[in-house]
Amino acid sequence: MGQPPLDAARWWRIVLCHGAVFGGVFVLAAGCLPIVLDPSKDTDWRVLTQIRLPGYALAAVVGGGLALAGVVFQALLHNPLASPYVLGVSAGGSLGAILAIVTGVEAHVGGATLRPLFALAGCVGAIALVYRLAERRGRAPRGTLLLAGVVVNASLSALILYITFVAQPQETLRIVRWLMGGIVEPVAPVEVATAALLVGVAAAAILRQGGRLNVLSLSTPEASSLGVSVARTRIWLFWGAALITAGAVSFTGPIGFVGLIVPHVVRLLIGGDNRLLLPCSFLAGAAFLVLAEGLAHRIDYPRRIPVGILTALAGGPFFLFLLRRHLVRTGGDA
Amino acid sequence: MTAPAIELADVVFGYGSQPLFAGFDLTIDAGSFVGLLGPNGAGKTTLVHLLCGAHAADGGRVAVDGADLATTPRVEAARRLSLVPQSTAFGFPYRGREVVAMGRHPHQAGGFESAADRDAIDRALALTDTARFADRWVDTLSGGERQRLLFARAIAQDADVLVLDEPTSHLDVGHRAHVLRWLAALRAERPRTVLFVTHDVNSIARHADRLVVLDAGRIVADGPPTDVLTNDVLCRVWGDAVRLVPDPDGGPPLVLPA
Repeated sequence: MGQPPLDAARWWRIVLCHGAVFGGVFVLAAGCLPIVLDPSKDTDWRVLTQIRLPGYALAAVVGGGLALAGVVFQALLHNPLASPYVLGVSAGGSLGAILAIVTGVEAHVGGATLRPLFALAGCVGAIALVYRLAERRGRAPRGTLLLAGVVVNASLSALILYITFVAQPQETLRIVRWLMGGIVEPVAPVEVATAALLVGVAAAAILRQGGRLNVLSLSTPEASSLGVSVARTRIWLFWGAALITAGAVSFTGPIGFVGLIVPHVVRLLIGGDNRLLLPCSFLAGAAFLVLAEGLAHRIDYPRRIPVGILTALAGGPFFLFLLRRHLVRTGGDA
Repeated sequence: MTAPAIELADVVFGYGSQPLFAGFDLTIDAGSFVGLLGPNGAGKTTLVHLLCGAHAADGGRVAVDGADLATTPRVEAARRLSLVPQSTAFGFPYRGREVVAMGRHPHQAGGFESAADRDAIDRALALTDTARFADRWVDTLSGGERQRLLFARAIAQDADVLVLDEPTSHLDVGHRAHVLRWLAALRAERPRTVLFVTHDVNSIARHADRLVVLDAGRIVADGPPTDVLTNDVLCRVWGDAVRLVPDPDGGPPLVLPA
């Protein structure tokens, strides 16, 4: 039979291959691209290691985290159009960050800003609210979760717009810049470390849950009959993926479409088996955002386009392509 | 004495305020082949969901192979009982083999396939004649081909109790016959218990050793097919829309539209 079984050896082989590709992209985007395109400035070793490298490291953590969370949300919600933001995480995080901006508490404390902490609190608050709204007797139906997420997203977005409307002009600029999503240099190493810790811990717990995620992408009776206690497993996978998302967006603002696009591209390449999809999407997401960040710095040099704009620009058309393909495949029924 | 394969004792369960099952009892002996019949809404699928752990009973005991489902870890229960659903929706591009491999989930640690997993998957693919779909994407397969993969998945799960929830309702008459043949082959291997939920009365009456007829959450008839298929039971459950005709080959009577 053509497709060999997925034992540990094959898993490692495939994951290491993807890891090597990611390493190549990282070196290319973070090291070679600046040197080739702008020899005057970025060849300065200190600029490269102290300013560029932390920025690209953050891009890798955020990109990988968002892609991984996207895979989890899509499988759990049985919805290929789900992104890490569907349950209100990004709106909650943005509200937190914006409150930090307008109240002035984002002043630097010990070399780092308090804004990520506010954003993190906002993310966690939003997820808790959505889950609370959709849950009954320990179960949260998929449709209700999605609806609660959409409604919380919309309400929080309105609140954000209101705060933006009444804010001082210079604050408005900073709010809008946050909402664009991107990596703002200089990135403090402590920020990279915190993001890496948050994303890393949750990702490590989720990375090997692919078998469970496969089963959970089936109907509840099937998943249950295949040995997964559905309600309990779904709750902790939701929270794990939500924490990854929170850890990511708290430092960069909402970077769009990475969590939606990357899982789909990787599925086109290797198929839908979540045992491989999780690690490969993580690596592909990291590579994608590092590359996008590299391009965002160069396209309009010396201006730096926020990378969130670039990913959304690339993501919009891809999303439409996806929708179109979905329509063709289902004959327009779904 | 061995524990019964399936035991429901004094089970209470309902979706809203109205209980569907109020003190429901059913015991199925290990190694038997039981057909579960009943009109739509009788509680057949709910019974299946209770057995595979998708619902927890509000009261009473649900046990598989002696293990009380309320206290048995889900993964352990899944090694005792496997389910073939009516159909399934694959939202994502899985290959045929990956679908069958999901049946090994309760036997795996860490999601990797061991040599034993590989053998079980290959055997299930061979028995159901699905090896030729192993590398195909499931969304390029027909409904009947996908249903075969669900059978293969349940077979790969290698449980002693097999519950089938109207698995043949989308299949043509030839495929339906295949399903009964696979079940016979599995039961010839080692004693396995089968609970087969179906609307196909005539076919199940020829293969099951016992028929249970459910209506509105209660058992209205229970026994060997020839005892259960009587005018009295038929009239009670399906009204005057059906009639009984003697089987020309001497088997249980045939149920036909009136």
